[in-house]
Amino acid sequence: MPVKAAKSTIRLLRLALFIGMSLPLLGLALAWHQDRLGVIPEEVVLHSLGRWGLYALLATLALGPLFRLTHRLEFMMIRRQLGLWSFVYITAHLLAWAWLELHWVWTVVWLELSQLLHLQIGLFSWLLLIPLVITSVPLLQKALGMPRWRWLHRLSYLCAAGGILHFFLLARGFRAELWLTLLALVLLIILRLLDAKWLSYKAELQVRREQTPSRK
Amino acid sequence: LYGQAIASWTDGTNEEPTDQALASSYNNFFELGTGKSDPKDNAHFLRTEPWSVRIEGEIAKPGLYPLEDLLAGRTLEERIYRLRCVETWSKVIPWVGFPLADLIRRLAPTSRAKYVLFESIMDPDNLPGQRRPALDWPYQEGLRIDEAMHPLTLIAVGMYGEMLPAQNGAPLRLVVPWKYGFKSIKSIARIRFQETQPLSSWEAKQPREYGFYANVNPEVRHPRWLQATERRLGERARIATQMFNGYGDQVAHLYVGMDLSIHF
Repeated sequence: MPVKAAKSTIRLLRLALFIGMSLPLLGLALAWHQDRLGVIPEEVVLHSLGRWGLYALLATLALGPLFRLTHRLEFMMIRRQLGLWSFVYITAHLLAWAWLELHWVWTVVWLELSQLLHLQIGLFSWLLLIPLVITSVPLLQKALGMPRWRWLHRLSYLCAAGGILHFFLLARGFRAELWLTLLALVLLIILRLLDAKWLSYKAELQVRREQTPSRK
Repeated sequence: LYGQAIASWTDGTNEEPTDQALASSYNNFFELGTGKSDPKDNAHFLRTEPWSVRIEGEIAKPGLYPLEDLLAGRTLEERIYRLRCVETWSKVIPWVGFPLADLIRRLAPTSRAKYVLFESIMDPDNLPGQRRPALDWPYQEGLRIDEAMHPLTLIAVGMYGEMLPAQNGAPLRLVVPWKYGFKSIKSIARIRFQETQPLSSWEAKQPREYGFYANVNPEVRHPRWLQATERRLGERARIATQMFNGYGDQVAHLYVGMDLSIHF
């Protein structure tokens, strides 16, 4: 049985997460302001935002398995916020590309988007996140119904896969972090599948138990 | 510089040179590391004294030429050239050097000298980058003989009126301003005149991404990015990349009849 988490603990956890996840963003803004980001600061900002977005997305996906392993409800109580943070960073990454890299020169934005596969994959993955963000509102989550909500939010695995592919397509040479993110996603998918199998097995057991007349 | 006067070249661009500190702190020189600031940080690993260049192949006067001999009796010129990296950043650099054609004429190549192969220093004991297989060392580059003889093609020994810093290819390097920067090989240790087209290091490693010619061309994209625009170091907004890096009226005739999307 899941351990019930105290309300005050949850509130504290959420606050800590909020502060923790705003730090990279503030750090980048400060470093930009102080001109500490090297010769091409635009590139550093662009790449850091993308990285943080992908890491936050993978961390969000890891919360489910962590909950199932530890039965600590806290992991589920911070999932919504962490998921939204990944959207914040990925959106900022997209804006940094259009603004810092291309200065909103639409002809170049269009030229790059129409010709570069990694940009198309990146934009598509970002678009996939939007319905997830909208349905993260509790009211809408209820309106949608839990089974449909769960089904919809499995898109987050596709987003992560898209993000990693986006990264793979533009990286120069061997990058350990690339393979690590891929490994993390594969592990998460395996855990997800194993869990689904285990759940359906348990459900089947339950059904059988109910169907078998009890001996008296 | 090397005890010689520097004449200024009148046909240069009137663009403002890139800040000198920037030009010597953001470099690609894999022998000194693959990060952009590695070459400057590891500059002390490059031993440049004494330096000589082995010149061989289809020429009348092959031999091991000390740097001093290569420079003796030469007028050094200052030339301000745009430098466009294949990675879409660019600089404007006041080089100090002499036309490669002057050297080639003195060496008297035979009629079989159709191409020139250049090779950088090979010194894995000292150069940290050469202890890793980032490229098949030593670094090699090549030019067609008419490209090598072109009056724009330079052997540089200095920049900004000073000797070349290690990270910019000390003590002597090639400068071919209408080609992507990787063609302008640094720290030259060997030059070979030959009949066959040399295989340059990047072409050998990633033939789909880097070709023999590597002429700056906004129309022909790199597989992972476009070449239509570039970022001039020190400036914020991107600018349009020019065909042949803006030297088209002087070099376009070298490539007449060639499909530049195939010979990229």
